[in-house]
Amino acid sequence: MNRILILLFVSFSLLGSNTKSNQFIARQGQVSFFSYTTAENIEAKNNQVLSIIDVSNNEIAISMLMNAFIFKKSLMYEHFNESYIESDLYPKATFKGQILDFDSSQVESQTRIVKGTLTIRNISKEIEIKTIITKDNNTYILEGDFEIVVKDFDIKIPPIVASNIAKIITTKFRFEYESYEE
Amino acid sequence: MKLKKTSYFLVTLVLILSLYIVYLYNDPYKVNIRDATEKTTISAEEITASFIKNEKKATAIYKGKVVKVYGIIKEITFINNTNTIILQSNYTNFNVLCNLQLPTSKQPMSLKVGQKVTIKGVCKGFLHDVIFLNCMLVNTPNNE
Repeated sequence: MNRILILLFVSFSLLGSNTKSNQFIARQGQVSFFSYTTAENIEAKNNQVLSIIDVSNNEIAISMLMNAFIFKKSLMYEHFNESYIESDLYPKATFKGQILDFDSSQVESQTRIVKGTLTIRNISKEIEIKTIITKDNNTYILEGDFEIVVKDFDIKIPPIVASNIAKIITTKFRFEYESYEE
Repeated sequence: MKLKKTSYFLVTLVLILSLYIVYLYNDPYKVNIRDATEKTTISAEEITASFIKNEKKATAIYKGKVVKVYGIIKEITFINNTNTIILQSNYTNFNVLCNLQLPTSKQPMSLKVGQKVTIKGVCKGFLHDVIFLNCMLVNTPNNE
């Protein structure tokens, strides 16, 4: 079953008849998030985020391991994984969507909207994200930022630390895609 | 007099506890991979195959564990200020990604693609590849 899911994701939940020559993969994308409060700033980075884009239909899929975020303090890592995200129960976050009006042949950088579904803790939300896309030879770089509302994903913050964690989390991403050909 | 002694004791106790809590709270996130004992030693081919065949079972075995993995270097990358060694498997597009525990700078490594290495790190799970963080090279005959 899992093998089928993997193959489905790779062939890109990835929609139908498209060949791999239309697909580009980023195995080491970076997603980071920031929580700014007067009490404390919290930052974490995940440098092993997977993403595949299909330039024939502008579909994009992203998957990341929640336990691969790196924090400055070990207690932050523990609270994030054990109490807030519950990464044993919900090990991955995913995004599936489409880059609107993306012209894959355009050499100049282009700012586009990515519209899709973000799933964290098995809770899915429709979101729109602004991204800057640059093309360098046959590679693409997608970068941008967006905001996540903590309560949208039923993340329970105990009242005692509520003042230390922002209600809206700023999230940044950067993916370098290369051709996904065997 | 006894009350005074008890008060001193309580104040000292509270102070020590507070300091301990502050110490725990500010304990930096680090993994002492050098001194960590590995759960197992496995080839890149075997660990990749086990995740592809049964991700749930492999996740239960390896996730969060220190593992020594050996294999042939497919690629060495420096992306987003991160040094990564990619070990090849028997599956063309599925590999083992080993995120090296190094300072944030491009490390002039003497490693080459095609070289056989053994790497110790913490297995985080599986996406398109098996993901290892906090990795370090291990000097074993496999490095030859």
